[in-house]
Amino acid sequence: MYFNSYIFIFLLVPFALVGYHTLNHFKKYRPALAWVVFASLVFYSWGNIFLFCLIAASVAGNHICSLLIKKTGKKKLFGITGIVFDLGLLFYFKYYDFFVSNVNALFSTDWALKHIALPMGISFYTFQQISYIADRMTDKAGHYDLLDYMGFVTFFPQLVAGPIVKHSDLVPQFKDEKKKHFDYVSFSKGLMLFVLGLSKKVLIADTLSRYADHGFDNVAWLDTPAAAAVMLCYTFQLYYDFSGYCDMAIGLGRMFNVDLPLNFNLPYKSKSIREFWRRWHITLSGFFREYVYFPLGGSRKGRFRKELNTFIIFMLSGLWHGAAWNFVIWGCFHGLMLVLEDIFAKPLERLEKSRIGSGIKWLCTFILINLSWVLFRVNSLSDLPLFFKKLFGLTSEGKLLELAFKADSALLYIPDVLAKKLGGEGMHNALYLGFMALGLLIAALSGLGKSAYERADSLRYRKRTVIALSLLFFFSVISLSKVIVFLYSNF
Amino acid sequence: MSEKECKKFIKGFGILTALLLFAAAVLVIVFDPYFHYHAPISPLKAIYTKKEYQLNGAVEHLDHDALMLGSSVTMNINSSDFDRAFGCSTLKAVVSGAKCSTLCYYLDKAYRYNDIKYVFWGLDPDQICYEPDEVPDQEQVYYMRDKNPLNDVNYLWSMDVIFKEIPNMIAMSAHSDYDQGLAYEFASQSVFGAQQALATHQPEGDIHRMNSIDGEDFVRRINANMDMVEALVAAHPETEYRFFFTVAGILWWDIHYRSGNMERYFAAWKNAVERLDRYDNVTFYSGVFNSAGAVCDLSHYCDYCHADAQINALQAASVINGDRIITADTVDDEIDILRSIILDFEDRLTTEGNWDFLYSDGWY
Repeated sequence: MYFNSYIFIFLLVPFALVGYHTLNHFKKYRPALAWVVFASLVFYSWGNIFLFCLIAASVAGNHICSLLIKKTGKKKLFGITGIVFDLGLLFYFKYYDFFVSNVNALFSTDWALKHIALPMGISFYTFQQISYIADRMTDKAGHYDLLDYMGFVTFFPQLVAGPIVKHSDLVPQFKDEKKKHFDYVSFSKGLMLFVLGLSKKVLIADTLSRYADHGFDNVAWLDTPAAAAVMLCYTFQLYYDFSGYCDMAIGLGRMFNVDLPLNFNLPYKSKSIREFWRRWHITLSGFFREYVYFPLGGSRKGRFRKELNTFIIFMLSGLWHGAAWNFVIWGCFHGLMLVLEDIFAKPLERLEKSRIGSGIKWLCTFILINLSWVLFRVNSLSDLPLFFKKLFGLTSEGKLLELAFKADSALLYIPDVLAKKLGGEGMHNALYLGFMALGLLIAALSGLGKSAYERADSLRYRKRTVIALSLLFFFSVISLSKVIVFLYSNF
Repeated sequence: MSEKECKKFIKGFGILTALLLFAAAVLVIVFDPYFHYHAPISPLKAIYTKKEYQLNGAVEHLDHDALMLGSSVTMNINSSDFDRAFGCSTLKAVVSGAKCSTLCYYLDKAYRYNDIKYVFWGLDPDQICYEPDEVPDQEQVYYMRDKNPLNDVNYLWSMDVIFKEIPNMIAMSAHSDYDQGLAYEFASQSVFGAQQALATHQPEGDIHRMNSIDGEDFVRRINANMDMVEALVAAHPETEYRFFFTVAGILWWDIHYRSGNMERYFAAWKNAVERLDRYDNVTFYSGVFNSAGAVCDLSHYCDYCHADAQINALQAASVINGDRIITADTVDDEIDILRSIILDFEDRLTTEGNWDFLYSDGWY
């Protein structure tokens, strides 16, 4: 089940919220948590019972390891067993085919690929559980009973796309009786965050995806303006898609009176790659810092080891994002940029002191991030040089207009009829170009202004806020169902 | 924000959102461009835009006493020709890549809601050769087909329906010249000619041996499909069934000659005629399926298979005029004519070694 679906918004969320708050109202705290766990399992395994089995096995495996640590005191043995179990599951479902295809390519073997569909959310809940087991090994966490543990892992707002929540963020909140009452303020802010997140996903990201998908699926077709537009569209699509999902997650959490950690904080405002990673997917960076970077020695073992450790965690971060070489290269690129920023720290700091220098730093960072997203998005590595050739080739063949016509918004229908009637082909073209430009402009302005969290936290009751939010929700809801033009429609 | 303000905020948001969603649902129910709940309310007309979404509702709610069934090769027929000739009101139930079972599903449904006097059935040979158990197929949008009211949210709360289909319905209804007989036609938006036809033709290089017409699986499929058709024909003697063999371009036949299916398709047609010809309410028309000019002149084709309005009008005219009736006695002769056309073409292609001759007028 997805957040951006009718069944989730109109059935599962009300079902979970009403049950949870009603049971809490009658001080049935444990049944209330069980209710949320049940709703979360329904959410996760909707239409696919295999997913239920998978998460049940994953939770059971980790919980047993934690229990064995408690019973036997053998932290290292059962901690490592738990982590190997988690990584094994992740390897099998996410990396098996990638590994086999590389072995085949390297050693001319013909091991069969399994073509395993990636179970949704496995990267997120596996990392959460690794962090828990690692904390058990270092006595930073106690053993939780099964219900608390399931609440921590399966809590549906954060289950499939983060934020990556630590047990210490979540379990104490489930136990805190002060958090068990219905909090109108928290609920209102949560509602606002959810609506803003939903609209970021379906109104902005999905609109921009039409252009980005077309461009990346037809790289050879692009010219320079179209390639630049495609790159920008993807930059904003990715941000609004992922951060929209996280806003919804955090908003839902607040509706349950549970605070989830911030995951995005206007990353495109960053003036360096380091700052970018303090603002983008914050909980993943936190995980890598705490469970990989520090154990590797962090910055304590000299300059070289520090840079090497930085590079390693970004390479791993790339691999976490996807089982393909372009993700690894993307991670290495970011790792390299961070190392370079470290080496040239002083001149870069001096540059930031002037306003122009600061602007230049922002621009350079934004351009670098844009270019890195190309590495992230290309359908295959072979498209990569071609895309950059198109981007920097300074050719113009009118592809930007053709790209603009890939817009698929019903909102354009009436304006387009009028434009054709009143201004002919010229106005028709201008309308589509303007729509694409408007999409990018809204994305850019929203991405550089206040974050959704800031907006929710500064929420004041005003009629216009209620109207704006209701309209955003309404337009988001009616955008969930697309009338598909069947490819084989005419034949 | 204080708790009191939050209560006002939640209440205000809830009420306004509910009103907006309710208004959207009412709007869609009233206009109902996909005929899911009712026929268009006068003065609105039925505007046919998306058959995958509309056909279920159209069959159920639109008044009609005749049904035109067929695949994409019949979509460019103007069903108003049938209305004028037979004094009926024809609904075009045409489905891309139509399977016999899908067409039977629509016909069966039409009988439940209307008195059907005529069925005009464009019979493609491959219709009868598909697996018979594929209803509903992927073409039917599930929430327009099933009776689950919860699924209707996909229709009631759809930006495409509210901001595109409904305005289009209003605008097109105002057009006095909107011809409902041209529902789902695509000829007016297509470019025709040998170049277009050949551009879409990607035949397999090798010519396969003809598949056996006695193959167990093949026989099972055509028997099962024809059982469905025969059951409907037998159950409704009051309906006049006018089947016609559909025309497909020579390049389509080239594909099936090479794939080894040509003889199976001929056998399927023959089987259909032999099984149904004994019913008084059934007549088979040849259309122009074996007319060399209709099959081979690529200036009439927008791709390897689909013909323009002129050829489609000839298909309809054959049914209307009642000429070239096919019976169990004549079906072999009629098919022989088409077989000769195809084999002559393949010989010519082998001799020429390229497709260039297809650009010359009257090469056939």
